[in-house]
Amino acid sequence: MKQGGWDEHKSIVLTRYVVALAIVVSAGMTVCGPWLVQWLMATHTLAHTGPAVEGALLVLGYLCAALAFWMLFNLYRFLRRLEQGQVFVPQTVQALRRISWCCTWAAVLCLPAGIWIYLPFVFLAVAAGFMALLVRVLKNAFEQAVRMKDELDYTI
Amino acid sequence: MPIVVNLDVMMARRHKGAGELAEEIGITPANLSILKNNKAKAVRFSTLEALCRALDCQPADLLEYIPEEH
Repeated sequence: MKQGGWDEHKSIVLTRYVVALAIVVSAGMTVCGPWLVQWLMATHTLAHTGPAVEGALLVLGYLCAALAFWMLFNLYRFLRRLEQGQVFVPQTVQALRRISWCCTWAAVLCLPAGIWIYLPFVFLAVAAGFMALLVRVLKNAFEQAVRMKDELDYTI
Repeated sequence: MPIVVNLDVMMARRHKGAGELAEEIGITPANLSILKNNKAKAVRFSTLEALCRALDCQPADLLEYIPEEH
């Protein structure tokens, strides 16, 4: 639907650029991982401190970064397919399933870190878990839509 | 699918080619091929009616139920 020169295609392109920007920001944060951990430990009150905690936070950060990259890559490809008009295809369902699992694993990783190291990570875990649930519902809806489209395509 | 479309049999009996039949009933040759090769998931009554008219037959001549073996 067009609204003053703005259309669906431009909206998808904008979303895709935002996802690309998120990939760049994630890459930057991954490179700056050790400094970010040092900054967190210096400016925030953590339940435990020491080199082991610093290492654990760094590993947690890199694992979350890997999940973020995988999720954003799938999101980017999903948007590319939307641009090409491939909406109700099995690849979309697969991408949404992967995104949902990325969020689930992020929640699983952040929860113990929140309980033992820094409480705000618990809120991050809850947010990621909630996001995983939402994406999963969306995936189920798309799965049904793909099945219905398949049925319609083969109705002669 | 236990429902089998015997379209090729009827086409052979009536000496009708796929292109000719597709044009006569107003569907694409690709869709007729889906129907002929038993890949279709459903058939519209309008398509069935057009097929029966073009091939001068009854729906039962085109569709057959073969129970699946378990």
